[in-house]
Amino acid sequence: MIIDAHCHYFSKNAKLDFVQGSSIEDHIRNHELAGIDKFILFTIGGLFSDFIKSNDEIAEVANNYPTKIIPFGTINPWYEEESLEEINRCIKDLHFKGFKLHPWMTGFPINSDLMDTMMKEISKFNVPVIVHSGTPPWSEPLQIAELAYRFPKVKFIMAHMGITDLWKEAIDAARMCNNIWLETSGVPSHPIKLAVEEIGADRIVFGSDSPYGGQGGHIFQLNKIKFLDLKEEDESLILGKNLSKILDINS
Amino acid sequence: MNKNSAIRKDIGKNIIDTHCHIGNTPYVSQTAEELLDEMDSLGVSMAVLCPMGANIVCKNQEGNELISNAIKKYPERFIGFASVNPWFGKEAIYELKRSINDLGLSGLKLHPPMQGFQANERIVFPVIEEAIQLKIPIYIHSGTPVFSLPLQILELSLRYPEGIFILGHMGGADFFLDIPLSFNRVSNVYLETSLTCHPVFVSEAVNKIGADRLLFGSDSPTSQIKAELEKIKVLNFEEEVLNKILWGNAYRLFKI
Repeated sequence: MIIDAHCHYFSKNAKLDFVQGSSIEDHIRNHELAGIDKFILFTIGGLFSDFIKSNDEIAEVANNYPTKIIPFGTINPWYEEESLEEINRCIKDLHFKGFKLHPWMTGFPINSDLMDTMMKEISKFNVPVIVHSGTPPWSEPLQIAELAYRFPKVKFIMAHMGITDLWKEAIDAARMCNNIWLETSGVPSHPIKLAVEEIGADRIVFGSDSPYGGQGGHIFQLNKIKFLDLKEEDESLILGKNLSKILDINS
Repeated sequence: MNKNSAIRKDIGKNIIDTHCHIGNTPYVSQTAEELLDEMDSLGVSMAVLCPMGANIVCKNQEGNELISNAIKKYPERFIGFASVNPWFGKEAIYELKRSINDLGLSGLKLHPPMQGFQANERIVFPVIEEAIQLKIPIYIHSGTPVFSLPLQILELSLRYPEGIFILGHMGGADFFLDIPLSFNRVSNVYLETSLTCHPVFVSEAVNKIGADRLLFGSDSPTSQIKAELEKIKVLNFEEEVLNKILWGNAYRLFKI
């Protein structure tokens, strides 16, 4: 089973004119074309606007495709009271399976008191948190590692594993904290291979960051992994088995 | 999915990879022969070679000679770019002249974060001016704050309108967003596609800035040529656009 750890839902209030194929039907079709069975879906607009409304939108589309979509919520730690409530609503009422955080887009430092308050609440539930990484000054791998160190029971997925500049640091962060998994969208080929050698394929998860890649983005991100010619078992861990375990999905 | 389905057959055999490295760093290494093997397996006819690691930072002569040896050994397959660290001052100018006039290299590669300067600060001006004198293209790594952001390189290209610049990696990841609405204001900057993290960034650059300004590159060995070609292939460009990106613009730029 192939599971995509990283997809955004573009609601009407958040459109980038160059990103095509962002409707939910496009998501379903493009994933099917690429042979991807399930995908984690969270908002884009809610990362910089009304996160509560955006979480409702995710719940609605996820209910329409329950076998395909694994819904994640988001919060904004600057709205402390609302976010603490929203964490509970996302898990208990909307049945979300985790949270997405995007420090530079939302506008907060990831390893701060603000986040500690949020993480104390999130850690009451056994759900993973996926965090954008690779962009200074607020989403650097070692900053995420500091948060992961303080909340060792929470599973952190480091989106983009440091992207183009901070992949060395991302591998180091995952070595420091065994509650960090590295997600492959956006990062070049060699760092993924190096991560397999250094921290093991059981700590790496596939993601596409769709629809940012455009309509062929899923295929490109997936083939980037396949072209590495990894051992079959390692490839299957990265493409789905690790996420199945993190999310407690029976395959 | 077939693992070998990467490259569309009709892409042809004229592909020029405008950004590859030979040498080594503590993380990656590559010889000219290893690179040729990968090129041959994908129908890539030529590649631009740049130094890597210490050969960019400080051991510039050694790196430029390594590149020179490779292009002399395989003149049909490689174009060489020299790297000099602007902080070496007059020595950098001397080494750049030597690389172009004596070693047979035909471009300059700058890497602001590795060489320790901000892309548009004064220390680099004499090197840029020498490259303009020598009539060679200037490749600059981009996407890394605080040293090499696209808009710093835009400012440099406005300061030196007679220079020919290549914006390496098109801003990489998040800093691609600085490019589409600003780089159409200059005509002396090419955009190189390696490492830019999504296919749609390439199509957006074509839409907003024009297919004549795009150069295919892989940054091998940090990325794979195969994966970087896949990034272009999934965009399903019409043939004319595809040919410009994969080789046409590079033919014109390097006067092949």
